[in-house]
Amino acid sequence: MDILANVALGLGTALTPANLFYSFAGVTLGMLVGVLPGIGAMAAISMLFPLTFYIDPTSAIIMLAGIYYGTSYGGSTASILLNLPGEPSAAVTALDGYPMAQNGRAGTALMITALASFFGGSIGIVLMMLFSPAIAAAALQFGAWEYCALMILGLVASSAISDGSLAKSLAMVVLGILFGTVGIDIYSGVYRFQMGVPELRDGISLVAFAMGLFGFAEVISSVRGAAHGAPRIQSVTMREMLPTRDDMRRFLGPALRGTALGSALGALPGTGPTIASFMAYMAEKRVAKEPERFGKGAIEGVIAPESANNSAGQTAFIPTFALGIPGTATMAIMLSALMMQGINPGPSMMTDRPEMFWGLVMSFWIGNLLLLVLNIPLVGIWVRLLSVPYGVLYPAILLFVCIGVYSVKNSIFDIWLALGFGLLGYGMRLARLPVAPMVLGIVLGPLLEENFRRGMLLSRGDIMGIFDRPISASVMAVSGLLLLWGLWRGLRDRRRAVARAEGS
Amino acid sequence: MKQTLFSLGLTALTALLPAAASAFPDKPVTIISTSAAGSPGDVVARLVREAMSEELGQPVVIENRDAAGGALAIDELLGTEPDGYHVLSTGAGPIVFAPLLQKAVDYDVSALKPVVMLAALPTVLVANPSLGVSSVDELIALAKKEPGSIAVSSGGNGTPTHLASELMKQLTDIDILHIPYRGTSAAATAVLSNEVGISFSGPGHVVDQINSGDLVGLVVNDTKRLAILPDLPTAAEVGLPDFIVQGWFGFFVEEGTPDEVIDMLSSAALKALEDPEAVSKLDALGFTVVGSGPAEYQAYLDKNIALWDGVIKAAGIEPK
Amino acid sequence: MRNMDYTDVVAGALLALIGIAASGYSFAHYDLGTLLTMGPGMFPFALGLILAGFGLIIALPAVLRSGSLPNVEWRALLFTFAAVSVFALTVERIGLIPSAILMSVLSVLADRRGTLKRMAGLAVVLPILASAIFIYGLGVPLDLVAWGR
Repeated sequence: MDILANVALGLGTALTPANLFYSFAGVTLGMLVGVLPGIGAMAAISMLFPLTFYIDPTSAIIMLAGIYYGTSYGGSTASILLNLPGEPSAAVTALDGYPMAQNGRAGTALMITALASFFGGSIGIVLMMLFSPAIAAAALQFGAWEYCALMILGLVASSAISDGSLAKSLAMVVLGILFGTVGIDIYSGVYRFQMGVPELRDGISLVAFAMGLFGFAEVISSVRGAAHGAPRIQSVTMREMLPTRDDMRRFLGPALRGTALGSALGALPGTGPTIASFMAYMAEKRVAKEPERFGKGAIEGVIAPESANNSAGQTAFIPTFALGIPGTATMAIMLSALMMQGINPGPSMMTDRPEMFWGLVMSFWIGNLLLLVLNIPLVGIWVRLLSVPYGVLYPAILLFVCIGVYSVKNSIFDIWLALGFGLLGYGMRLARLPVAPMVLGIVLGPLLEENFRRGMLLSRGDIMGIFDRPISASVMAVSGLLLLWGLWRGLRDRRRAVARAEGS
Repeated sequence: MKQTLFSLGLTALTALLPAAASAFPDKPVTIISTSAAGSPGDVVARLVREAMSEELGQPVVIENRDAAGGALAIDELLGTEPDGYHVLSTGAGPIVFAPLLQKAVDYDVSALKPVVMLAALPTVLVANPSLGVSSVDELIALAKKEPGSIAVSSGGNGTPTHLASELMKQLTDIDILHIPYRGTSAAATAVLSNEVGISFSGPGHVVDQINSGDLVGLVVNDTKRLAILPDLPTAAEVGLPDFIVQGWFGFFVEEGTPDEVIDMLSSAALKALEDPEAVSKLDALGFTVVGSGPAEYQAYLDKNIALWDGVIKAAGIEPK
Repeated sequence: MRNMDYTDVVAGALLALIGIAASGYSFAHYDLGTLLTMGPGMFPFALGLILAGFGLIIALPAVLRSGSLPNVEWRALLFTFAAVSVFALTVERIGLIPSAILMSVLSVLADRRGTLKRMAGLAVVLPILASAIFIYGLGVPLDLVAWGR
């Protein structure tokens, strides 16, 4: 079979000592750097890509790809341990990962994260091996209305992301979308809400936004409480850290659903791991039998987003290679490492340089396996980080967040921005306003506006255009059903409550 | 990134050679780049960096500061001494387009002196095959027959690819529908997926698709044919000699930098461009190697600014 | 005056204000366009109104119910703010090491139980750690020490 020959060719490339080394170096660097707050895949790759100019192009892309998916393994570590996402795509993992850590199950959360990441990553790789051209062709079916419908679905589902008041949650989504409108409007060239600050032309830095809302706000509210209490007691023996049978029984469903959503959203050039992890979390909470467990340390709330963002990380390579057009800025930097060597990255790479493409794909297996193996002993070390008194830890967190935020664009303004969002985030905690919906808003909002306006332009001002196309119409139908279901459930609960009140 | 032992050794070696006429450079040179890491402007600067460092006998480091459309990078440069140890690597965006399209730019373009223009990157006009056109003439005929029906994608309002479509409208008097996207990658994907009929794109994004027939190449907006797309006619060859759209990349220093220092930087960069490996890499990526010194560069800039000023005014685009 | 849930009243009112401000600003400065051909102002204008609506939905019912006021950690808030501000103000001017020392000192003050020993220890360890990871490891273009810039 053709695929077997390709696998053999790929293994031949990926298993050379040099490429094994670069894969190992890439995933290790990526994982470690991913733990640092603010330094996600994008920042890590743009800082480390000059290292690859002097090595063979295949090795270069293997190493950069390793850094890329390595960061998403590392990104969730600080989310779980310190409620401090290493990158925006890990923000949603904090929702249940951090409560797990507070319940003394940090080790289990990290283990299950590694497993879920490996699971999602592996399926993503299989899809890439078998169906790249078909998936890329399908992704091209997604136009403005399809993206628009997808964003509407995300927003309709967003009420699920946090507990408590629906009005508060929706208000935060809207506030997040509003923050997303800052910066240049691509349709008119107008700079919105720039307020004379040149740095705001590019919009609000997602990293500064997330680091402020999560990192700074968390430090302000934890300093006092944590200083009083003893260091949080954690299960640190290997046996205590291994997921329980109950945990594993809960694994497959969320992992499969997360992977399915993640693979699909990752393969679309317009969406990526952050949207994938949020969507997977919301979907998981929707299908859960006991949604009230979410937000309090439900292991499904860690499994679903982690398998989603890692599968999305892998399938994101599909449009990049099959079309030769990078879907995200991170992919663009990765391809430019090839350009530095005079290779023009295009779809012909798959046919002209099969050893590179298949070598890369097979290196994904090796990298993901290495990450899984590396993670298990590291979990013990990370968990011990929690035995460091918070009074010593938080000054380091503040400093690292500052440098991390700065390093994304070498911009001091981003530190100020993060500080502003830190104050806002602290105020929101005091008012019991949830943060996660706001992150969802700033991620989905710009895509919604952009694609809605593009759809209107393309269908010459006919809003029904969204129902004319099969994919967008189906997605809209799902959103409609979701909305009706939510209303029906609300009514049912109210009626039951009334009935109970009458019965008593 | 830290310098290699090799360049340190080289530094030691040049120290032994008879002192040059000027002491410049006796410490590392920093190139402050307005381009994001990995963007075309960054690739050009990095491709000449090493050879330039050998030529100057000092390490040359690149610092990417793309925030605020390059304003931060230019401010940083203007805040240093005009001694040639800080060099700005930039392109048409911050130098030509921002001053024309923004009511107030946050930096003083006139305080920058051109050193060397390294390379240009022309756009290529491509069409989705389903549009059924195979030449610029056919495109114009179709657009005249059905005004406003052909959609053209761009990397955003006021970006070079948008202005390229405005230039085409002005040169050929056709009516096409402009659809902005966020960045040139998304704009290229849109023509590939047939969401729009035509697009202006960097050659690198579309060369494979043109060769495979997934896209139809119509014209390269340059005076010369491209090495990677030798069959694609130039602007003059399709009868529109003014249909030239080039991004360009080069170095600047702060005004007040001594002329001999500018000359040294300029000739070191020009030497770097003579390296056949660098040239072949740039060619393969669709760049045109330019290599013009300060005076020639200034003349090019004046012409380039006048061209786009005219296009922007004629299109009625107001500064924002 | 009767008791009410001041937290939600204030939060809701602030959200409503932000919403109205965003709408007003968009209306005054940007072209709204029409629903069919939206201008740059339409989206933020509409969002501002929706946000204002949600603000009222949060604030109004809270007037009728009692609630407790949250405890504000003024000390932590103040010194975290000071530490980050000082870092942002100084790091490009005096370099990472002195700036990180200043930041360590200020941030330890955020904790009422912070000791002089802890302050000294962190002021030594953190700058070294940060320089090793970010400057030597990742090549962040910051000076270690830069006087007079």
